[in-house]
Amino acid sequence: MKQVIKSTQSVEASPAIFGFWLYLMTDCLVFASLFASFVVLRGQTAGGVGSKEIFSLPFVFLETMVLLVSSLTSGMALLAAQRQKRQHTLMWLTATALLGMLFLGLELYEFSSLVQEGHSWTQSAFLSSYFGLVGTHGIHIAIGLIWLFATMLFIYKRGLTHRLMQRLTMFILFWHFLDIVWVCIFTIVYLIGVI
Amino acid sequence: MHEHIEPLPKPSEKSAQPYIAGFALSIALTIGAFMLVWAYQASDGQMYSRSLLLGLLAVLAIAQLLVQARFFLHVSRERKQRLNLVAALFTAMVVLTIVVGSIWIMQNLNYTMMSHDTSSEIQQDEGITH
Repeated sequence: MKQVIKSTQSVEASPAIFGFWLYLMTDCLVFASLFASFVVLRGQTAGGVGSKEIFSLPFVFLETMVLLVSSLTSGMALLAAQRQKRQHTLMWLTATALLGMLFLGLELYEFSSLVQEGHSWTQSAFLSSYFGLVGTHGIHIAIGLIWLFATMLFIYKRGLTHRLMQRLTMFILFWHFLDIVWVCIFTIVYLIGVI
Repeated sequence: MHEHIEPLPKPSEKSAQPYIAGFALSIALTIGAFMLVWAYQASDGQMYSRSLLLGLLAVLAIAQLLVQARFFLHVSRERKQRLNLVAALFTAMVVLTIVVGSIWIMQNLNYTMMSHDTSSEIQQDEGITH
């Protein structure tokens, strides 16, 4: 048991995790530029629709809750992994993956219905910056899901080795980070967009 | 020698409690933000002014960022996490510079390049007379 505590401690404080943290910080800058362009361009609708006409708050609320719950389940997976419980870890990660796919599905549904109604990214600077910002977040979620599937497969095959603990810790950081970015998106893009 | 005096992690550090607390706070802050907007829309903007609502939404969003950074990302001032905190604070500074700077510059540009009778409007605003 002592060994287990020691190994998880070294995972959390390892240079690899700090390096991944620095990657997340630079990813913040990517999102900051996209947020800046969105805020500047949100009024430039070129005579087309504005944010008031196309955003539906109940739908965004649902997306937000799905992502928030998936953040919690991913944290639970890490706790289970730190206790070396492989079955529980895989169960929580499966829940995270399902919620992540649901979120991505909702977002793709929103995008496709916007495009079908003729509000695609080519219509105005507002829509370009909207699709650019929210789409970049969606791409992060999609890549995160691929990463999650790979990690689950390895945990299933090899168990919770030190390397996989490290990879899992990085993934959980990434997933929480995406939830934090989403907090900014639902506030700045959707809530402020409809008032 | 050093390993012997290093205290073992407290049981609370490995419990699910911080996650549950962070999750509950995040849910409350999210519902609060949506309710504020719904109440504003339901009352046709009569209940409180738009600028007050914007301020409240900003407070709720920043509170949720801090809650999630603390409870989910475990950003704290403890010694082995210190560099993470420094990197995060520096990033926050750069992010603020990018976002606030862009808004400031572009609003200024909009102001000076607004419309056809811009120059007369600016002359009025700035009190320039011929």
